[in-house]
Amino acid sequence: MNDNLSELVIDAWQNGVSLETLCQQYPHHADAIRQLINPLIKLQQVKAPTLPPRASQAQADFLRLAQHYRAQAGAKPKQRRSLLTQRWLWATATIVFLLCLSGNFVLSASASALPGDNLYGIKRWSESLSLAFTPSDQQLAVRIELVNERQREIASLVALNKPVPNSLLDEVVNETQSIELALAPTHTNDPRRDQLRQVNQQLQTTIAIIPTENLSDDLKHHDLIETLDQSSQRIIASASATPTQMVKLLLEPTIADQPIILSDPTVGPNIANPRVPPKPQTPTLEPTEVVLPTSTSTALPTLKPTKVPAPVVKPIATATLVPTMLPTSTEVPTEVPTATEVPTATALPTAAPTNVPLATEIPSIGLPSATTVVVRNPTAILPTKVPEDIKPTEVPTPQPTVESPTKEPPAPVPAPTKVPEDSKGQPQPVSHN
Amino acid sequence: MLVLIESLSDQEIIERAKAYDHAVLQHLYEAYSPALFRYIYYRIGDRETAEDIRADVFIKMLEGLGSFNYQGWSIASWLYRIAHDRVVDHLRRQGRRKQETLVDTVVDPADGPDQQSLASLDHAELYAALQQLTDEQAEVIILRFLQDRSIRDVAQITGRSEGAIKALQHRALNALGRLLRPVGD
Repeated sequence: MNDNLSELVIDAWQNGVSLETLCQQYPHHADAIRQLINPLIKLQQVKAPTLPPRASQAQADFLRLAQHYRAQAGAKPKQRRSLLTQRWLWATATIVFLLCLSGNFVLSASASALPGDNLYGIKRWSESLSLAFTPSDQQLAVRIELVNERQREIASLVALNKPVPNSLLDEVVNETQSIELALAPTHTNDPRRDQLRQVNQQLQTTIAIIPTENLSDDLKHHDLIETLDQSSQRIIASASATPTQMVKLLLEPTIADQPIILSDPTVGPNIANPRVPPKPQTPTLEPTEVVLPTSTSTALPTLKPTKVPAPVVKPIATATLVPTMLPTSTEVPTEVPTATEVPTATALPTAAPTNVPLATEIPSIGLPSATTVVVRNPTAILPTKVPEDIKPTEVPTPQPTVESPTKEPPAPVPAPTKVPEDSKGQPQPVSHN
Repeated sequence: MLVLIESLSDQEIIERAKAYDHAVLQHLYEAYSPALFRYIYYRIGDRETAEDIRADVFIKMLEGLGSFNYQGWSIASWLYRIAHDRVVDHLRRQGRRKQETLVDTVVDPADGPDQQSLASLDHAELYAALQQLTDEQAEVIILRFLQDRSIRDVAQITGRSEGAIKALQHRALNALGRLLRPVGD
């Protein structure tokens, strides 16, 4: 007997057809019909369970609750549900969620992108965005970290044997110098200085390992390292100097840079800090005077002061102003009259016409302080001293008086031409010798 | 008043119930409360628990009236569906623990056939027999033959097709026939 027949038999029995009638109607299924109907007969005999006594109380509670719902039936629950069941609301929320999710995924995926990758632009954009939203007092630290990230990118490019864009190198070096300048006014114990110095050194190391075939300009490669090295040294120097000295160093970077450049005179002039167009000529001219006699005086003075300036002058530039002049000035007061001896100054007029007046003025300007300084640094007088030796010792001696001579030269400029004629030279150095 | 309500269609009753009409709600409670109690009682086997669940079913009805949309379901089927879900949830929490709280005694199998044929089936024996069936079979037996629900209603309440209910019903009656003593033997 199939399910449909059993359903037919059950319906018939429930509608009052007796079991015997059904068995006679379907004799072949009589046994199956009895087996099907017997439990139904038994089920009919089941007495309905009585409700527990508290059922009536339950009904009263139900009706009271219904009254409560009726009292509250209004806009409140309906509005909530209607708002939550709005399809457009859910659709919008879903789209926004997916956008955030995908955006987050793209940002995380772009974190490891390298220059040239499709996601690199997104990476840089997100960096600039996060930098823009960084509090100003934390921006330097973030910028240092970004420089470090650029350094890692360059290292990755090198490791993958991919070309390193020159623009990236320029950017990272410029940014390093920019951060260095921004850190100048900070306290010497500022941890960011050390952080920048470490990043700077890592950057130098990374640039140094860039294969030459990946560089379009090897000279530029060298320049970048030099520039970074100078920057690093300025960080160190400024950390050991007072804030005012440090600012001075930054404002006159060429002077501080000179000693380093000296090692490679040909490169010197090219490596000057790009951001500080410097006034290298004024210092270069002044020192020549002093240096010429002190250094290997034989060739330099007589030959070409114009060519020599770079190497010779620079050391003195630092020393310059104070020390070199001071020793001379100390003697000048007493020897001013002896200036007549310096006929050999034939080179001087060409080398530094401005110096001549300086010498004449120095006594009047710096005598008081100059005398004391000279006592401390008699070495400056020795002709055997190498200019480089003089500088370091003299650089730290800060004297505002130094500026006066440099500023004043313009006035006496016309003098040079006259000096040789009138004073017959002012050969303090000569007198020493 | 009740007579008038009984003359209303299911949709009209639902609309009034959604407005928390006192008379309609009272009618629904009185009309379906005993049947729901029996259904729950035969499934659970405990009178007090069955009463708790029955009361909870009506509270759920009040909470769900606002979102109930008439889609061909009678309100009775909806109430049984609520009760079905609550029973299934209760049985799941109980871990299919056998209930032994039925107060009526089970018929002694050693009794003679005459006594058995004359004895009415008590609750304990019925419950014991239903426990031998699968949950689906027991539910179909209860709804179809103890609650007098149609095949269609049972299909709606249990979430199955009508064909599946017919097959379940056939197998359940055959199994129950083997478990219960034959009438008139």
